[in-house]
Amino acid sequence: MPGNKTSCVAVTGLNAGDSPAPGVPVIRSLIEQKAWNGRIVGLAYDALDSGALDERACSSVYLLPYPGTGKDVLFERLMYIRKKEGINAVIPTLDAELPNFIALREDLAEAGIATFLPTEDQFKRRLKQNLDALCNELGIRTPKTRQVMDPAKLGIRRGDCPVMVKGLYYEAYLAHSPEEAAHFVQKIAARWGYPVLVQDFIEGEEYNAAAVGDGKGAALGIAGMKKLVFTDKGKGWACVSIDNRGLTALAAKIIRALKWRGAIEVEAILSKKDGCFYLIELNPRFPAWIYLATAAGMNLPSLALALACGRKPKAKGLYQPGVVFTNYTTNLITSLGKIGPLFTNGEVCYEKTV
Amino acid sequence: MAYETKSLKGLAISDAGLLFDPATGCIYTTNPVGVRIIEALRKGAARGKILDTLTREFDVDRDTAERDFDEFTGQLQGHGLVKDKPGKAAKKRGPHARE
Repeated sequence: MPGNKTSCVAVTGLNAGDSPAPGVPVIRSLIEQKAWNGRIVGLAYDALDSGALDERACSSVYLLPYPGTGKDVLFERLMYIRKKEGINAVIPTLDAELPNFIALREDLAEAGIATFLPTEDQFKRRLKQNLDALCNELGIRTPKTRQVMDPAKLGIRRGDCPVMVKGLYYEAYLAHSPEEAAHFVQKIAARWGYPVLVQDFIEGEEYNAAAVGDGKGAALGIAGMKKLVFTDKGKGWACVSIDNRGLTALAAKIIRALKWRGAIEVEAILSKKDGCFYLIELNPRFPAWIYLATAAGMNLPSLALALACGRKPKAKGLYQPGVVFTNYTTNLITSLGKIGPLFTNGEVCYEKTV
Repeated sequence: MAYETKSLKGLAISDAGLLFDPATGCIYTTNPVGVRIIEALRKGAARGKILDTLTREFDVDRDTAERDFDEFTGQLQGHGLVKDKPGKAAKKRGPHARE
């Protein structure tokens, strides 16, 4: 589809703030391909999602209903956008919205909107609460994880600390005592609900890999990354591309075993104690650092789009370690006159505004 | 004294003394003396030969070169970039370890 003038791709996850979503880096990866001739339709959940105001990234932007409203409302909205914009592919990039998009895969395909997403079973098997079982099955090391439904019944002793306290979708905190862990459990539950996960803390350095699986067991590309500067939420503010055989082998093993379909991010800790990788998370989407992989020579979003469109792209192996990116904040100037329709009508077409 | 330098050989080194380990993403900095020591270690040079090079190229006496070399290789060992070759470690603690 890249190179085809009729290509119109919708991308979600446009918040590009201090904890950026993957949407804008995915869009940059697509539109900076040499053969790109298409249009990007941004899909946002808030009119002030910063990427939604960037007309260099999006030709037009539409607000989506929140994931909690269900797949039918989402489908109706996507059909409306399809009719107006002619979108023929969609790349969802946020954890919370993926179940709806996965459930709509066939309906979307029938309506002429291509996706390349994991199956419902694949999505469920890598959920944080199921990671223990998956790792046991695949013979992969992972920190012991407990599901907590009640902060009064944590099931950890002082000697077990420190522990990581994690929400099912977002947020993670390091707790140094059972009391602190209980506090974080309540904090996360108040926002994201139960269960909250309490995971053994593995001392070491975190390594991440992004990849695209072809759905048959092959990885079409695996890009490694190490964080150099962290935000207070533990996100990578500055990162460097790496070529770590152990990390690549881990990602390939997971993709092969699950026959993973689409984008995936592997998060692992290289233990200081035993020198082994411990899998801490599998994210069923592109990470927010995906443009680093593109800059280092591996354009994974373009691979995923090609797969979505029924092509058979070749596996990519060339990847340059030592490429550095850093986020930096700047100001994007627009006007209420320009973005007004996004507030009032839930949509804006930048190509038509003055 | 000889060293196991497998990890050191994987480093990318700039002339300015920036070292990058492509496998771990670790970044280190050093000075021209450090760069010279690393280059020599990567070629498999022995301690005595490296000390000869340092005294000749950097205009320092032997004691200073020995002190700097040992401190620097200690740092490299601390970062897991070099190891004593098996069977050679005992020599380091012997009376002629610095020869």
